[in-house]
Amino acid sequence: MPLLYEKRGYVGILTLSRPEARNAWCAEFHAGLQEQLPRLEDDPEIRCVVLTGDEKGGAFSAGADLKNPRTHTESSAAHFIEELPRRRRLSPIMMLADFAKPVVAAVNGYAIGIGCILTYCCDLIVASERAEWRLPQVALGILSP
Amino acid sequence: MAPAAGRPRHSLALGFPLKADEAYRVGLAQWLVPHPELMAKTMEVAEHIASLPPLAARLAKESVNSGFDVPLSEVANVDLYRFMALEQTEDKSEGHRAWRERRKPQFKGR
Repeated sequence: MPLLYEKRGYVGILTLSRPEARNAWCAEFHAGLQEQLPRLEDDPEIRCVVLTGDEKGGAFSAGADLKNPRTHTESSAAHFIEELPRRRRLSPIMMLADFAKPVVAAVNGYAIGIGCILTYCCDLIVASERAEWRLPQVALGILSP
Repeated sequence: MAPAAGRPRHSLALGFPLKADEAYRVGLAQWLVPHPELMAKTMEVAEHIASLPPLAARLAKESVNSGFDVPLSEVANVDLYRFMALEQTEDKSEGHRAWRERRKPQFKGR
């Protein structure tokens, strides 16, 4: 499971783990956060969440998986518009931004694109000297939604 | 998207990288540590948060996050209700009692 979870005392640690791709985003991260965040919110044994990138990936998250030609393609504007309500309610970004308990990001390297935005949704950030934030979307012809 | 400090957000959106030292300087990151110390520092921060009475921690977060883009008086007004709700909790009594008795509190999350 690419989204790793570990409980240490009252702290739940979520780790983005795709070391072969510098922890680049994938559907499993998306689904993993959608599943884990509500669970952590409801768990009385969890008082704080930590979000970080797998050290073996050498980054927090390299962002969208640009090697995949299907990344950033929507079937149509109509499909996109119809999906907006679900996207607003269920996007991991929205879920993290609305998360009831404090979230600490441990930024261990590059936080690119969606990786960068994820850190914005956290309450506190601990940065390694290797941390670096980038939003390459504009150069790729899109925006960061 | 979203808050954080003004200037680095705009330069970021136009593709300029934001390195760790500047991120710390502008307040995007609250702590900056040598790489090998990252997880130890993070757990120190997380464990401090985890030692807080959970309901007060939740509402402190909510209060701060709701306050970025609205007048202070609005947040202060809602804070009255947060305050009232927390006053009803057992953890509030325990927190105050532990302080008077000079001991570590035991919070229950209610």
